[in-house]
Amino acid sequence: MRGVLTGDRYVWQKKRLNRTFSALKENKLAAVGLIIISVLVLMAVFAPLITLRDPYEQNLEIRLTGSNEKYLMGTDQFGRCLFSRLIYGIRISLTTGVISAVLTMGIGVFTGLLAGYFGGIMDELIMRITDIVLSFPSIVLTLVIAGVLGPDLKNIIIALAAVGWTKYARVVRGSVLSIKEQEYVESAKALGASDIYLLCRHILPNCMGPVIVIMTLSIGGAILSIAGLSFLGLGAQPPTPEWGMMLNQGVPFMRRAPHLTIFPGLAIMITVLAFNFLGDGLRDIMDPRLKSKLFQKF
Amino acid sequence: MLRYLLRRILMLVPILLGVTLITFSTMHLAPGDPAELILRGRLGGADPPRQAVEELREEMGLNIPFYVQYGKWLKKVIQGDLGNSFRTGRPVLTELLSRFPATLELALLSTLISLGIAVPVGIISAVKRNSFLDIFSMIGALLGVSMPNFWLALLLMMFFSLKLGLLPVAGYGGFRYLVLPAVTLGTGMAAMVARLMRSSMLEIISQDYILTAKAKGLPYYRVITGHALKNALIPVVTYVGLQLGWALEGAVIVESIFARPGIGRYLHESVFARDFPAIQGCVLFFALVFVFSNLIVDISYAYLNPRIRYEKGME
Amino acid sequence: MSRLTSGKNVLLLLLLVMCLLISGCGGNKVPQEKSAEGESPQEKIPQELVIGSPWTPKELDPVSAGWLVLRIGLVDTLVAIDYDINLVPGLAKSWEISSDELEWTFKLEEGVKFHDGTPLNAEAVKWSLERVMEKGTLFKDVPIKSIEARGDYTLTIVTEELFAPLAAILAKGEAAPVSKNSLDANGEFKEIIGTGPFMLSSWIPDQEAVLVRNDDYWGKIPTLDKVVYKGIPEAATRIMMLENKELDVAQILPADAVEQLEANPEIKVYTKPILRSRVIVLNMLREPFNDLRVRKAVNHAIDRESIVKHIMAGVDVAASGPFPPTTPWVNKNLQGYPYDLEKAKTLLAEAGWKDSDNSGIIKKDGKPFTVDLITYSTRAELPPMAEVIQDQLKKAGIQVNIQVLETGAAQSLREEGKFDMYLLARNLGFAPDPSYYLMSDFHSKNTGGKGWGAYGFNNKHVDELIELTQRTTNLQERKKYFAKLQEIIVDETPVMFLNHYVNVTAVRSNVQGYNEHPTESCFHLENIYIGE
Repeated sequence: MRGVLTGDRYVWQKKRLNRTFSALKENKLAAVGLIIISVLVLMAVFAPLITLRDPYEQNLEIRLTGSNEKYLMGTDQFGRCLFSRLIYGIRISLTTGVISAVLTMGIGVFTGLLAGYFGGIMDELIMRITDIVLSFPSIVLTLVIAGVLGPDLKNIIIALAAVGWTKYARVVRGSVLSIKEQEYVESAKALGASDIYLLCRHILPNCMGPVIVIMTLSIGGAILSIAGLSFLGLGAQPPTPEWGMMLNQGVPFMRRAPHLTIFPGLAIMITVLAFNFLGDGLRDIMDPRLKSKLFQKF
Repeated sequence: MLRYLLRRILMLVPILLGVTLITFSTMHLAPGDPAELILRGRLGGADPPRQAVEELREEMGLNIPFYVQYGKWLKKVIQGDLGNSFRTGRPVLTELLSRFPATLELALLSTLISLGIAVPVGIISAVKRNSFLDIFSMIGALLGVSMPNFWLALLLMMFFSLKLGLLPVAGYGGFRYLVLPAVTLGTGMAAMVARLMRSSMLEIISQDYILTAKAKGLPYYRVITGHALKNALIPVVTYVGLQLGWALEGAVIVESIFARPGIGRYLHESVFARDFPAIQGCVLFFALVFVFSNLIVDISYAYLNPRIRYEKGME
Repeated sequence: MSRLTSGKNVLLLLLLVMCLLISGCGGNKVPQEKSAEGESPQEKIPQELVIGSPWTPKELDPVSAGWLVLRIGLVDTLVAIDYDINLVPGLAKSWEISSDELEWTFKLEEGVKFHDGTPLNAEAVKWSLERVMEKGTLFKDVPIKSIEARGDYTLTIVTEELFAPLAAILAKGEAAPVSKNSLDANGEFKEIIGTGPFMLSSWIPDQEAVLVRNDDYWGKIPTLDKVVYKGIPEAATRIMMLENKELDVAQILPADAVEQLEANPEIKVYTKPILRSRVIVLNMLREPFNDLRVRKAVNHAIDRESIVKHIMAGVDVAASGPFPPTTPWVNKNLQGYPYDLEKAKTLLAEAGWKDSDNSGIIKKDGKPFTVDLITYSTRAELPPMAEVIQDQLKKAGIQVNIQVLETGAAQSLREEGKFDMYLLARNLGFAPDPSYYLMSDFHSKNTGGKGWGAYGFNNKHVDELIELTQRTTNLQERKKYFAKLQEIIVDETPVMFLNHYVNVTAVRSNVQGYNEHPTESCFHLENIYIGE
């Protein structure tokens, strides 16, 4: 019985995955998003091959030059190659964005499962905490936590997770409540399946749809927040080629070297846009009903 | 209704307690001794003598259990005493109040701008669903959501202030100073509101009574502007009500860039300077605005739509 | 979601109310167009000046914000400083020191009134100075025995022992007399009532102070009717505001911006060497900078000329010691630490720091040479300098982690000893006697935590020499001590001197008479006027 169930679920999930992919092909925006993200990932991985110059190497003699044959996007205030820095910046933004989104998701899904599956006091407690955290404007709380912990990318990730988990917790809890009542779960339970088994095999896989959508969208959001906080001086510290900080450092040269302001902003926008395209598309494909609900949150 | 109202307001109590608890805890997140931090603030950065630190620890009750400290702090806050800023030594409440108008103006104007853009765009998108216009504006909306507002602020500043010299770069004063910050914030919001407006409108125009109205031979534009718009706007307005809080938080970055002396900039400066009473004041302010705007929205909803009461009750 | 489709007109009404609110809000704000600026020649040019400074007016009590209230002309000091850094009469028209060298007698200017009309006399000054003794830190290293009013306009300060820099210390803004009415009934500071050429008209803490002319001023009566002093922390914003005519004076700009500003015919740029140096304080209380060889090595690894040339656009001057070459007490024999990467590496190797695994980072006992450099952004050139230094030290195998903080936060880290290098711009001449600066920055009494000077530096010889300068009035002798002190300090290098500050201030071209004071003690707004 156990084996059969698992096998069935496996086939079903595979089918769903296939469906998702074929639907992705049809949803042009999502496909564009996915393509951009893939290109970005490739560029990040192969950064040393794409760029000719060390993103950290200063050459003060040629500071603030515009685009030329040697430097595709010109140089910054320390004579560093802006193009190299932007490309290496993909690494920073993608990794911090993804890490913070995964961490946030992990905490949120865990607490959501606890609340939904066990119910009772646990549920009440977790939901009241989410109510409280959601009573703060998220940027404000993130800014304060990151700021108090000290300017560092690591602290921003912690702060984002500390604030962001609530939206997963709520969605997961809702899904768990409805899945818990389903027949196959009940029967597995009757057959003596353990809580852990039930959670991992049946409940978790079935609430991952909305979770993946929220996560895709929130990677974009996290990249934006990290750049914003770094722009405010609370995130990355020099000489990290972090886009938000690069943008901030370019402000004094807005007149002389506008490329220092324009390109990093463009990089942030394209990346975030790609995740939003993909997330939006995934949402339409995986759960059309989710659409109106999510509008409340995004 | 009354029961719902009571329940909703009762629910505020644990939330407010939690909010104040988190706010109070921010100070204890920081490395270092709060008493020393305060004294250093009072002495303008000078090293406080050991004995004074000890005395203040005693006076502040730092040697007593955390929850008792919290209780004492809460009592003061309820009486309107948010403590004195480390940096300036003046009451935080006074500082907040003096900065409030700058932020309120910004939040209101940016909300208005966002509605001004989003409502027509949303309607057109919905009515001309899947047309070129629709796709174009919805991609535009996604672009707006993805655009970092600090970048937009700088671009606007570059163009309108530096290049054209039309508007002031930064500062606070009349309407001219408000335009760029409000446009920056407003466009970001507009992107989100436009999408909501569109889906809300789509839902309405597919409903029976609209179809009936159409069948009765009313001109289409009258159907849209008359029947549909009114109903479609309701969730949007609610959403915008909630987003007033959002505008406030966007104020942190925008006010910092445009040197507007509002609460957002105050928070940023205070965080940077580790001015804890000021940080606590700002956080509490933002949270209260958020909590109460949610409350008002919920109550008005419940009043309008009896079903909500039960749904909410079940949550 | 059912809520999307439901509803009544109340919410629409809400929207309407909001719109009305907003339009009402907009309606109140009449656009503040600047009145036509001197369009017709007959019309008097408005004598208004808007100053943009990185430092916000947080407080106005001279005891804690003396530097600010003196700069903007709200107060005067007993002793003033002229543009050649000599002590000259201020509120005191003369002073002398008794033959036993313990009593300083100041003759006050007569007929001076505070802004509230109360007279400035010996009693008032005594009261003010005693308040500074009680509340402030200005006199903490000054052996004052008593302050006495020995006549209406005769003030005597008695010291326990000879204290040569006393008059110089009285030139600091903290010592500026204020009226008793500045305090409320509880003795708390309420408002600033000084004697200066300008009076406070309004003040928005942390943002701006608005001043008006004091028509009853005892000295040169200002031409300006009104001055607005604004705190705008970001240099880039100050520059843009100046270009956009929102400011008349933009102070403390990065040297980097000079070229761009000079290209603008509507803007005049002043570059003026001032008594300030950009330095790095080394934390001598912990590894690795408790080792003299390491301190010297780091000095040699920094290319000061390159920093000045590129980050300061060649405007500032690379330093080999604390004092700029223009000051009378500089020790001209100091060689400093010329850029020499090989020497740096040799010194580091001697101290045990070697790149044993070819990782590019030197190590000692398996521990990598990683240090924290803290600095702040209110002076725009400091973070870029930090980044260049980071790059230069990397070439010597040293990894520097930069933290750019707010000034207060940087200061707290310093006081807690949580730093290795602290990059800052240090003023040397608020009190124009090197004795004051050396005392506060290098005497072992003051290197324990607070302040802006050496950290953990404890040198008996230096202490003795500093104390000697305080007890010596003979100029030649003092100069000898100062020279020796500079030699030891550069050699022991608790603080690395990077470059001497050349202040960059830009003004609109119709601002006349702006002249930066070399000690930054005062803007002398009374000399400024608007005109062609």
